[in-house]
Amino acid sequence: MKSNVLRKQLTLWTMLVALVSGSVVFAADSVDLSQSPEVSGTPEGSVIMPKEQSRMALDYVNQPPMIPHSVDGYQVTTKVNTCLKCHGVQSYRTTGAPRISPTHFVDSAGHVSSNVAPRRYFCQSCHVPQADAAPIIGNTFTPAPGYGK
Amino acid sequence: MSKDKKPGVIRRAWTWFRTPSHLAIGTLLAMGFVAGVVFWGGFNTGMEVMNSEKFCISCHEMRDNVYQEYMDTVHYSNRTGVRAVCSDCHVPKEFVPKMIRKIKASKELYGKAMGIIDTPQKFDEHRLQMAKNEWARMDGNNSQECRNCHSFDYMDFTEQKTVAGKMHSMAIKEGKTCIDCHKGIAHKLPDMTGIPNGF
Repeated sequence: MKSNVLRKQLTLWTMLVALVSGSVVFAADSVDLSQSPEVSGTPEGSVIMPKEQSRMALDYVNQPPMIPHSVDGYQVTTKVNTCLKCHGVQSYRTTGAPRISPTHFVDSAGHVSSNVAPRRYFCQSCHVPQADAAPIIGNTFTPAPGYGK
Repeated sequence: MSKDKKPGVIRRAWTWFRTPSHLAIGTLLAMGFVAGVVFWGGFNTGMEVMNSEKFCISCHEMRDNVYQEYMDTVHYSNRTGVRAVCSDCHVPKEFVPKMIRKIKASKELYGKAMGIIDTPQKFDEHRLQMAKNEWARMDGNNSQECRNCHSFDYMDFTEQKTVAGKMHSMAIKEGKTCIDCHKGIAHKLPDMTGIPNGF
């Protein structure tokens, strides 16, 4: 009985030490995680999202271009897609916005339709607003040759 | 005896109304003035209360639908704290249009009372129709409620995004009104298939 309690205590302490030392090692990584909103608990609204900025360079072939403007309040639901209001085929000439890519009209079976394919409809699954944010996980990624400039 | 019968209510009121008073004309005028101030002040205060967010939500079917959506938008909360509440967008500021709007809005209360839009699902089914009503109203008064705060005359296009500046000058040239392009500013949009995007 007594040894059981002892073992429990010991396990608990070992776990605690492991947790603390682990997090210390993790924090000593080269990436400054305190910059990341996910880690530092940065209150919403304090990461500066662009009103409008120049487009960042792509890093690899077929990377979905990022959004160089704020998308606050943009509605993309099954019933309405505010992005296509400007980027859609009917209006891109008026607005001067980049036209939606023709690949977005091809569905998973390879059929071309005049409507945006369902799997390409929710723009922000792939296209995200550009932001000056620290990477959440450290990595050794380097842009493909000729990219990232 | 029947000749002494008390006359009817209307006749008595009329007689009272027509009978000259013992009071001096000045006193009567002064009393009338004070009564007028009290009545008009009371009326306007009442109007203000009726146009407050809380009052709107208490009867119109909005607390679980449009009000929730509105709370996520910049017209509810923003860095400067300048707000637009329900009535700022949905009730005209001028007296006669305001009264007309108030009367028309009773239809919405009917919708609530009869349970036509009392669940978010039912509300969504009627969303397009309700939105169309509101778009038509805004089209009709040249988006006056938007323009109470946002005015083309004072927009500095150089401060706007380049696209916004371009589109706004185009809108002025073509005589467009805010709601033509800016739909669903504070609310979720209904099914927009077949609705022109305004430019």
